[in-house]
Amino acid sequence: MVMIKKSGKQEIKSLSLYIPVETVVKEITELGFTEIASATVITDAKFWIKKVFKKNQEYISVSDEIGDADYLRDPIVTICGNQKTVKALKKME
Amino acid sequence: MPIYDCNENQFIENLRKVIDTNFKIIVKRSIKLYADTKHNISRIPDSEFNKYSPIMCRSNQRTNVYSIKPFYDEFHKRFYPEDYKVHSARYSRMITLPIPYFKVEYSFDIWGETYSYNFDVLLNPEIKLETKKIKPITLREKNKSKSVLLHVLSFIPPRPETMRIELPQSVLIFDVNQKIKF
Repeated sequence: MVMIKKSGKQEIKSLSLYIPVETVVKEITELGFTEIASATVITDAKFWIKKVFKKNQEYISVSDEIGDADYLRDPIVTICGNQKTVKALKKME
Repeated sequence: MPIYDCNENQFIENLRKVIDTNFKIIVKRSIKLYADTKHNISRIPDSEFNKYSPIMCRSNQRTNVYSIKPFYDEFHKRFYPEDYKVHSARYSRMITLPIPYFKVEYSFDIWGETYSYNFDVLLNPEIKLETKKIKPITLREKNKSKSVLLHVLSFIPPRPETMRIELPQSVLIFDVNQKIKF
């Protein structure tokens, strides 16, 4: 492992949100992001729909659990973007 | 060397904390296609199974799956006649239709410890009506091979963006074949 100074302006952040995925997607599209891809993903022995949104060089992925579950689901939002985007989505936490 | 499994949220947040301390981190990524029985037609949730509903039916998740129309599975090169048991809940390892998937592994090492996040991405089914030359043995006939119009199931790889975790440019990503555990 090499230690050097961080140079990029992009940030990463992952949020676990206890709000409906529709609200999250609405907020993301209002920020100017467009959905570019989606797929069925399996992790943690659970099925998820992963949607990827893009705006210029910024990416946001939203993973929402699918299938039968009797517990509250929390969409996972992962951001690789500028500070402004991270701040806007952190407000939803 | 301990290896810690993380979920997406934990992995990204751990990585962010390391990046915030001005470390230059190397993230290892491995993406491999598998076609084993780990993910099969019976185990997928209803919303995913609906993509197969033009040619198959089942009463519930993890139950028997039957073909409702004859179809040819192009990925596994197999023909299924109508009303055929595509998946047996009792003999699920022997009688099943496996769904191919990409196994994606992300990991990084820090102070002798490995933090990893693994996930599988299913290939998307595509069902089309096509003319196919089916071998007589699959039609249970001894005649010459026949060209027949039937449903063809193929699997389309997902968009690469769904298999990637976008990371800042300051993070180096090394593509590797597999992690060897000691």
